[in-house]
Amino acid sequence: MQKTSLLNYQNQSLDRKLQIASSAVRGCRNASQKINQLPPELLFNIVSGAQMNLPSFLPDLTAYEDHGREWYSLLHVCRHWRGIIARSPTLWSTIDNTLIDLEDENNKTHKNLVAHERYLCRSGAAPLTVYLGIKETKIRIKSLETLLKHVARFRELHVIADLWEDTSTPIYTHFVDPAPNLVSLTLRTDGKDVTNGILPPIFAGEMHSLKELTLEHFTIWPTTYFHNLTSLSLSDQAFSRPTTLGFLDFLQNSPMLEKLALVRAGPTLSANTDIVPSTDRVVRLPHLREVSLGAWPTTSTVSRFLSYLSLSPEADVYIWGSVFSNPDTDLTALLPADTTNLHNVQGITKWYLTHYSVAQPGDLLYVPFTAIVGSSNALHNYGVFRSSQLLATLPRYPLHNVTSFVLRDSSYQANRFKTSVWVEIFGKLKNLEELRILATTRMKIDGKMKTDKERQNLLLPVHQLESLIEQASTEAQKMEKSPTHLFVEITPAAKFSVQNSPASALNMTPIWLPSSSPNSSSPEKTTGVRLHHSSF
Amino acid sequence: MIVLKTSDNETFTVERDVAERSVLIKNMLDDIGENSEQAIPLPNVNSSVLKKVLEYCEHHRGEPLPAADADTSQDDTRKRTTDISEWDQKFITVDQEMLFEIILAANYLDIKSLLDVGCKTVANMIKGKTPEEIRKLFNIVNDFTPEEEAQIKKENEWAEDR
Repeated sequence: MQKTSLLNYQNQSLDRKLQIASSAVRGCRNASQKINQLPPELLFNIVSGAQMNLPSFLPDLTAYEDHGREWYSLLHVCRHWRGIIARSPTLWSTIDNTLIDLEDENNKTHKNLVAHERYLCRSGAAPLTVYLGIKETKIRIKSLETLLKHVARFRELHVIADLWEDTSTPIYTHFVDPAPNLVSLTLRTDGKDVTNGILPPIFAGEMHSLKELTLEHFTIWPTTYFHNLTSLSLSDQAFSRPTTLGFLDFLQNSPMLEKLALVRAGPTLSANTDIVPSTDRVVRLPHLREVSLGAWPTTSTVSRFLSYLSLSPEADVYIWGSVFSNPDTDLTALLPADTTNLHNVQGITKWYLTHYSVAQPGDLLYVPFTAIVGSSNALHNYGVFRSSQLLATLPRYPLHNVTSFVLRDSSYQANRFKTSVWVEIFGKLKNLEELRILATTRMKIDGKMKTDKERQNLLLPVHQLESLIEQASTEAQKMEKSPTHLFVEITPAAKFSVQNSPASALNMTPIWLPSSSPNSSSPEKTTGVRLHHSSF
Repeated sequence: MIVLKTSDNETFTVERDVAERSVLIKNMLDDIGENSEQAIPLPNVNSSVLKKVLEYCEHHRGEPLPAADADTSQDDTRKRTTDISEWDQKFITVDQEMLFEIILAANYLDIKSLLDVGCKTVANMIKGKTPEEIRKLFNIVNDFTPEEEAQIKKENEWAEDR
């Protein structure tokens, strides 16, 4: 009996040695492969590149749900890879509450314990990026306590605290120890745990590296907080909003600010409750590249805020929200009367105008907006506005510098801009060189022109036009019952093209116009083009 | 003009600003002085690989080089951006053998941007693949012992829960 078990033991021992030897031989074979001849730091670079990399400011938190799937399998390729990955702390530096929950509904206590130990152990002393309440919305007290032992290593902390376990104390009251390395903080809650919009002291006020901040539902915080930011996002300030004066003072503490998003937040108090600075106050934010003002209550609050800013020519300003859905909104008030400090407005050379009929709730594409995109010198007007609203805003924009105009009138027949409106719009575009018509349905420059005089009245006053492109969808053509006639004055070198249309369906016919427009000095060059559908 | 000599004794004459995309070569030139006509030996790079590397340097000549004292966060950002330009993508569409040779050469010659392109390309090749698919891709075999396999299987269960 004893002899048998001894033999078994010897056999098992031999088997094990054989397995180890076999593993070593296969390891040697792997070592001769090109990829495994790379120095370890290069293989680390490759694995690092395979990991999900979300931006530190406003990361796409829904994308984070897939974190891990893209690179865990690399641990199981071979022993060489496993060794390098396991010994690279930065590969283990992104952590969330699912990795540290020690208990869960599925009773996977042991596995989670393994995960917890492995993660925090393998991350060594690397700066941590922490996501809480994203993959697993419930944040447990124990998990938070475990993580907060490493708070000094936090580089990024992104929290959605809607399902924080302890309803008696807000999650942020647990942030008591200093976070000296914290660069980016996202703190989003459902608002129930926020009293009067006040954020109490957090991290003992010691977060001197903080550059990127996202807060939801908070309006007030200690005055010494959040200076020298490069990115700021505030949203859903349900309680009293800041005054213009107070908010500008706050912004002035971050002269290097690059990104600013204020969604249902910011200095939006009505004129009778707001406190404004003196009219000559200007906050210079030369590094600001992106401003998003969402769901502000009125256009006048937008222009009031912008009137105190000095923006660079490269700054992109996006203004959106239901204020644009109301056809009675005074769009004139969107920009301040004096835009000399808004250098991005001054640089507009391209204009994109989209006009449609009905805002479709829930469809993002139909969120109306105005954008001054300094990085591409473009103005975008996208909305359901009335022609009178649009015409009233035109003096605020330096449209005389516009050389390229792209338009789409997708509104229903009854709401389309009349020809006279188009003529007035084109009248502002003294230096237009390129006209591009993106037609979902057709722009109403119609007609059944009968007399030369009528033609002359409908001539679009564009004298520098060199290019006209119409991109009509086939569907649009089918919907169109009557031909469209577009009269433009052209130079002999002008180029015209029609895209996405069967060549047989569109004709462009030169027409003779009896007299030149008032600005034309060469009557003989006054040639028109009639663009019309010949058959459907 | 600068003369570079490869491991297989071929010489390449290139303009200085092209050669200086390589920090290694730039440092060597700084050491030996402006007027030296001596060929710079590159014993770790063969001629076919150097030809490819020089094609890259020629295309990117004049572009700003990453500062030697760039802080770690900038370095990380550069490495972690997964985008590869269209030209670089075409350039790096080579067989696996050449791809790894380019990576090794970029590492040796200290051309950070080329090294990034190479590493990102390999990273993109392995993303979303199973261990078995990756092994097949790089001609690697599973060298874990059964004991380690059992441990990995356990870990797999954990990873699948993520």
